[in-house]
Amino acid sequence: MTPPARLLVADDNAVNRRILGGALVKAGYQVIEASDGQEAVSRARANRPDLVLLDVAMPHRDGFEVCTILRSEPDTARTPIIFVTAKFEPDDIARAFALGASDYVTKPFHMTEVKARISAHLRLVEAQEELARTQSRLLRAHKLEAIGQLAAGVAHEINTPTQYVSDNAHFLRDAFDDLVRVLGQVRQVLSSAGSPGAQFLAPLAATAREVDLDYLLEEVPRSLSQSIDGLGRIAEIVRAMKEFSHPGQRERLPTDIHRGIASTLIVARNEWKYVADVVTEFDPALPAVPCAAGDLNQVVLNLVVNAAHAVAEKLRGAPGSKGRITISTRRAGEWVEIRVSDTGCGVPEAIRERIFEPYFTTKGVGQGTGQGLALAHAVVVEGHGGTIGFESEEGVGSTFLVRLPLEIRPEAAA
Amino acid sequence: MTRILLVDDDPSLVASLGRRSRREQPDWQLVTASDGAEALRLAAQQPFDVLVTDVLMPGTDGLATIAAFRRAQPGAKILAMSGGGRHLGAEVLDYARRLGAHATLVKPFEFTDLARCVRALLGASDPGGQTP
Repeated sequence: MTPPARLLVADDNAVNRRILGGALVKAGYQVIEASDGQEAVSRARANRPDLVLLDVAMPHRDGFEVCTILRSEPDTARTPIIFVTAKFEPDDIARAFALGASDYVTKPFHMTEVKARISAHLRLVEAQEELARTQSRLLRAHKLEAIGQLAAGVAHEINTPTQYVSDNAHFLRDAFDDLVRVLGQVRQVLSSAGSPGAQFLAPLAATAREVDLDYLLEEVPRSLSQSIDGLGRIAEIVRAMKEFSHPGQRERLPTDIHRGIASTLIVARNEWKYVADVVTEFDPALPAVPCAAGDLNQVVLNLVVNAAHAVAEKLRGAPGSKGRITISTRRAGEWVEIRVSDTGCGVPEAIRERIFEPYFTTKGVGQGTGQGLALAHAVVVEGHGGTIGFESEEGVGSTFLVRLPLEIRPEAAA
Repeated sequence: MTRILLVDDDPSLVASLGRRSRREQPDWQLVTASDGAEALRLAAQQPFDVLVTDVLMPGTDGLATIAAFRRAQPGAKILAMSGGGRHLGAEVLDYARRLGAHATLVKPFEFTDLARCVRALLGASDPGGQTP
């Protein structure tokens, strides 16, 4: 239930305030009163009303001044302001609108008309807010899509250099093995004292000491082997990035979701590697699941990142220890179930009803957008005709369960 | 001797594959070109057993090269390789197959996969592609 709208009634006439205010309280609104212009401004600042009913002729600041001040302050710049006045000439009306008034009613007024105008303006504000939310959602979706395309493009650019750097590293390792054979013999010759022609070998012996030949023979092969391992990991990450983003695929195609989950875990590794061990328990007999792979990967990403944050939160008092995140899949009749479990702090009882709401977040500014679970909900429920829910125990952990239908049903296909 | 024509617009890639093949596949006689036009000039002068070509290249790209090479040397095998480009993914390899490539490799690949692929092409068994 949304709380009743808060209305500020500013009028220096106590009787007028009583009549208007009383009728509005009866209509279900919460009413704040102000008896002059100065008080109207301070009440508006303190109470952030949803709408202001403003008399024009008031002591200490008239309605026009109050309107000007409220419009200039960010908190009240968009609050609907309705002028309520006995004498309103066309010039006054024009001036009121020029100062940012939303509407006006003239005394004596009919209460039904005032209520109708109030509710119309409140609806308008709601529609504007919804529009702003939609715009920001679209902007974010657009940004994500652009980032996905950019990532895929970058991945492709990386492939060719990865190819030849890796081939060169292999070549160097093998070639150095041959050099080791040559240099090993050189070392032997140098170390056999009193060999004939020792005086000719003295400069060679000096250079070998100078470059620390023994050390190089040990460490060069090691450094090349490590480089080759690292290049293998780069190739794996790039592959996972491409597989994770799936740019362009919007329709639901039969998908091996285990590959997508594995890629997502690689992409998100930085989020969990310091706080948790990740375990996958995949059902080997799981059939291909009709889904938009990129969207589903995004859902898994959000759940895994949340799990990592929950584990980190719980570990905050115990540095050095690690939690556990388990991702399992299984078939349940005509459904596929994906579970993401963590040993984190759990979801507090008080916010359980709200966690799938857009913009609801408990994370600090810049840490969470409050969109992760809302997006997951939208993808799973609206996008795939599935369900998403969770079980949680505070201080013990949470399990999020995503269920996707194995068959695309007509009502969910759109 | 297996005569291989290797085409890629990245000189470092050509050189690095050349170094490895010299050590690991001494039976290969590798001829290299940095674009399709150069490759087709070489193909007009001497026979090859296998064409190994990049797909996305400036000028005469890999697809045009494959089509023309096939007319010039119908008996030779063709292997296309790609890591995708700025706008296209590795799906360009599907086009390469349709134009006559017998096998494809996604960059980055293991050199051993390239060697295995070439062997399989010349042994006339199914070359497939790289191991996943």
